[in-house]
Amino acid sequence: MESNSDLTKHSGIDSTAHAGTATDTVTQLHELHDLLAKLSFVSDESRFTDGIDQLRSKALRQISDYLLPRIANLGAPLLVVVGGSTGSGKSTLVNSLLREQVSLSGAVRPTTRTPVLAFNPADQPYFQSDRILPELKRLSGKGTNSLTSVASGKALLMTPHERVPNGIAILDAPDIDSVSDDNRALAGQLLNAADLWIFVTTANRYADALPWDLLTEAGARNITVCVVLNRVPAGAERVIVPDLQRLLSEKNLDPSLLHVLHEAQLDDQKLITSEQVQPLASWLTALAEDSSKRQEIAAQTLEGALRRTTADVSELIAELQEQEVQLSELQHLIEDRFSQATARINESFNDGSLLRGEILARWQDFVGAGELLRGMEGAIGRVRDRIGSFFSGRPPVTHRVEQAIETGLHMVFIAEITKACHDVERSWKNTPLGQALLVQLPVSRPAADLNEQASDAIRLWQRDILDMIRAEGANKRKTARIAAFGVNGVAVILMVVVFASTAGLTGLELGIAGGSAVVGQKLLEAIFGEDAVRRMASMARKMLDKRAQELVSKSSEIYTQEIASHAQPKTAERLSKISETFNAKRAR
Amino acid sequence: MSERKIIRASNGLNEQINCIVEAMQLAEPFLEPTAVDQAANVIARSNSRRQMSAEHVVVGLFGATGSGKSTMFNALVGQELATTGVIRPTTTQTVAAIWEQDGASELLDWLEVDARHLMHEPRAQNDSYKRSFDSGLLLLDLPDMDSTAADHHEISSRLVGQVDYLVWVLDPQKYADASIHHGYLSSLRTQQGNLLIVLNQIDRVAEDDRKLVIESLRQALSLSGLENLPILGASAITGEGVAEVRAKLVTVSKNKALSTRRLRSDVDQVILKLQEECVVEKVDLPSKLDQVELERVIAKAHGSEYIADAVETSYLLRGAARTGWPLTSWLVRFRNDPLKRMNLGRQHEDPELALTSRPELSVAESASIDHSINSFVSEASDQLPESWKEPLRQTVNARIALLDDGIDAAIARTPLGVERSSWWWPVVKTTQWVALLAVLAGSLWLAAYPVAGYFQFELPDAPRAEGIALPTLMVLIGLLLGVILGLSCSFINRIVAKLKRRKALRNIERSVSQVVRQAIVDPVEQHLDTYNSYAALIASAAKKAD
Repeated sequence: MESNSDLTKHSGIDSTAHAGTATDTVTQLHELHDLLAKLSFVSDESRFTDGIDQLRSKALRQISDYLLPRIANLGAPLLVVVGGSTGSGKSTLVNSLLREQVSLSGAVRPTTRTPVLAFNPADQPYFQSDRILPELKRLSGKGTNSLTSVASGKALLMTPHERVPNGIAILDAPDIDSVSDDNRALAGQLLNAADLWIFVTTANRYADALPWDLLTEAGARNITVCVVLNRVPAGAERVIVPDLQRLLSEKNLDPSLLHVLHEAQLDDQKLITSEQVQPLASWLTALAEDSSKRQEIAAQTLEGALRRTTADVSELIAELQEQEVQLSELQHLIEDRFSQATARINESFNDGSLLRGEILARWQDFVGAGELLRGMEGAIGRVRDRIGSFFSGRPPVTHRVEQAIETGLHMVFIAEITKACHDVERSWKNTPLGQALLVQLPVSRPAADLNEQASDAIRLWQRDILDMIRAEGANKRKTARIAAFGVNGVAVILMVVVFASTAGLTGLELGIAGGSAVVGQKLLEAIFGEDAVRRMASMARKMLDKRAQELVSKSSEIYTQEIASHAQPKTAERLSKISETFNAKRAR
Repeated sequence: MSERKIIRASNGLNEQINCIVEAMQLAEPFLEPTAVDQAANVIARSNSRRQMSAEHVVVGLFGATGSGKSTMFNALVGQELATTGVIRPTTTQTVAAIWEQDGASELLDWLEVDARHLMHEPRAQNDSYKRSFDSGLLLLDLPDMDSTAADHHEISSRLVGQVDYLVWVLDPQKYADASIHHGYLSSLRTQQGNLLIVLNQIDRVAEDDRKLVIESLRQALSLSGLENLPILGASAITGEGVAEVRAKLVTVSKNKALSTRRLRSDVDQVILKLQEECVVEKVDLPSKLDQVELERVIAKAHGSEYIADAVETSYLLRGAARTGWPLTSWLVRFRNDPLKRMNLGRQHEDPELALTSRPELSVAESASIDHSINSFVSEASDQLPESWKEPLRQTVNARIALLDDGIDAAIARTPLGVERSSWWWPVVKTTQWVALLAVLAGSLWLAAYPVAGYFQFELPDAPRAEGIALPTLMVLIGLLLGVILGLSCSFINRIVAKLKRRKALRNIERSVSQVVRQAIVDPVEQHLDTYNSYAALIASAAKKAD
């Protein structure tokens, strides 16, 4: 093991400054990790959230697998990951370097499913702990035994081996392009955790699109990539190598690190002959011995990885902000539509249109048929009412007006709220995010008990009015007068006055409804006095508005809660702050 | 291949295509545009292929770069036609080998293949006739589908849809690549009859491993939904297994129904996709109960009950005026006839222009109408696929605006049964007047006695019946008759008024329901019918699928 001071000496970074920024960076990375872990995206079809989630877990793993351990110790052994297409001979190459079968190789694709980590026994402490790749379970067991039993689970086969030079570790990764999705994902994770890539390809494969996506990314991140061109048929080297070297330099990769292995029979141990792998083996040994070169490579990869992660995080932030914007647009749709519903309900109270039809007819019964006068006769009248209603089977006239008002209000509430819900959902369906959210909403919209809710609201309002009348008529003289109609009768009159007081009734109706409402108003004024009636009417109106408002907002909660459960403004803010500091650091 | 079989296959295809075309015409506005486009593409493609030479069978060699497609192509045709090499990717354009020129060139134009080679294969020398290709074969060597050259992928994906028979050339290194399985093979599930897998470069696999490799390839294929595919191991370089591939292609090239079969499986795919989107095969029309409920709510909101009440009142008033005791019945005229206020209950000269003057609907009533229509439509369209719901809602919403006026006119035209007076009213009226006259006459007669006595005239005694003077009897009977008649008529009138009320209510509801039926229920049912016939067409097309 090497001392910490030795680590930074050659990497061109001032050691004290590095220590300071390093702890800073580490805490920030930890916070970034926590924030990213909590982040959630609504999955919808159009935005390809699979990609976003992959990006998120990639960034998460990059931080815990590579950035944190590497920043903490720049001098730790280099992790060399052997990656490449399926069937390109990665495992055979690793086995040949170690001159032993440590990784299963074979003709059935994909072969390697559990990655094999080979390291010098002296470096054991670096790899046995969960310092790097904490998600992978450590398995021990020499060679190829019992590999099939653990199958594709996320694990790492630990193989201490004397032939691995001290200071580097070799990881045989699964393929990057087979039909096994797990393999592909794991290979990506391992390559992202590597300090150095040995990328194995073959004469058949060197122009495949998929590996070049990875190599392009490696070039952009400035990772040291040693490309091994395997299975080159005799005579083809002359043509292929310049072509491949051209491709490599196009992608900003060092063509001089290209090693060529010829198509040849494997020896009896199923290994590539030692003469063939000699150049690669000695290059690795030389690298292991030169600690300054090692640190240079590590620092270079670290720099690239930091840059990449910052970029990934920025992309995630952009996605998150996009989602926030879309969520707030949906929120606006809800607010707009439901406040429109409230306005329309209010309007229907205002313009007296509620008084038409049923309520008007019942009110006319009440006023016109002398019921009003009959009510004034007091107790006798009420007894007769009861007897009358007992025989006719119809409720007393006051009740009928009351009922008409109740059903009228109820209908307006239900219809407006249902319409608002439908409109909101239709507008949500136009956006992919809205569609995704709709799926998660409770099944019955508007709420199944909207009917009861609306009835409750109306009943509460009626109780409000009764309370108000009782409080208003507390003195004895008024009590006596109220008794003449019954509190309910007065309440009904007040309700009609409420709807008629701002009535925009026209023509004939004004004569009928307005006129008869005036009768009611005069009656009330006789009981309570002019000012009191005006005050009571406006109070009753306010109470109704309040109840309606409550009912509407309760119905809109189904939608707003769904949005609130996905909005993460604080996370977005904090994330962009951290990403800014990273960017600023890089600029310096 | 018998002619009859070809014709039968072709007829089946025709029927399927006709089904789809008909279904599309019915349902185009209600389907996802992508689904319509896809169906239209497949139909256009199959139509254009069928116009081309049916004598040719187009076979394409597909595969990854370096798998040896060109080498296999050369081995199959027995000449070095396609360039082979180690630089990847080698082949950059499609190469075609043809054995029969007639009709081939327009087919190749359609396939967009420029490099064409006319083969003159010596026929049946030592080999049996079976070993040589039929003249109808059109063999294509394609560029790769997985290299860094993106334009090659385009050629591959285009030709995958156009050739009649697909040969996938895989190799031991690449046979498990995701770009092959996920990119292509998994989408060819319905094309199994037109697929051959050739595992090339089999010489590079040790003899012992071959079985394992082929088994693992079979497994990978079955993961993509391709089971029981023929897999041939071959090596174009050593010549091993090439004869089997050749023999297979010989059989294929003789099968002239192959192109039809290929088109059919394309069409099948489209049909299956459309069928998947049809959630239910048949939606139920809205139940009679829902419809009656809707009509009832709308009629009620339009005041059917008030009008009926008014009919009752109006009849009572008129009845009282016409049958009441003439001395008091004139008072009734001071009361308002509620029907007249609504401009109802009169006979219109021109029923088409009739309008009522009922007050506008209150908010609550329009709200209840909207609500009931909404629930009716939601209930009816509940089972429909999502894309079918919105158009129906729009159609209905457009109709709602016209509903109120329509109903108003319908109510104005509705006979309420009070336009004419009852036949017995005049009789009662006459009797009433007679009775009144009798009272009057009797009173005059009685009054004549004191008057005559005052003036000292002598009047004969009034005749008596049962001991009561006739004039007294006249007054008494007249009064009694008037009162009894008045009371009993008012009783009868009440009963008749109730009957009239019920009849009027029924009439109004009937005419409202006619309007509602026309404006709301019919369009809904029509829409559901359209869906049902669309789903039935798709289902019958699916039944014809293999």
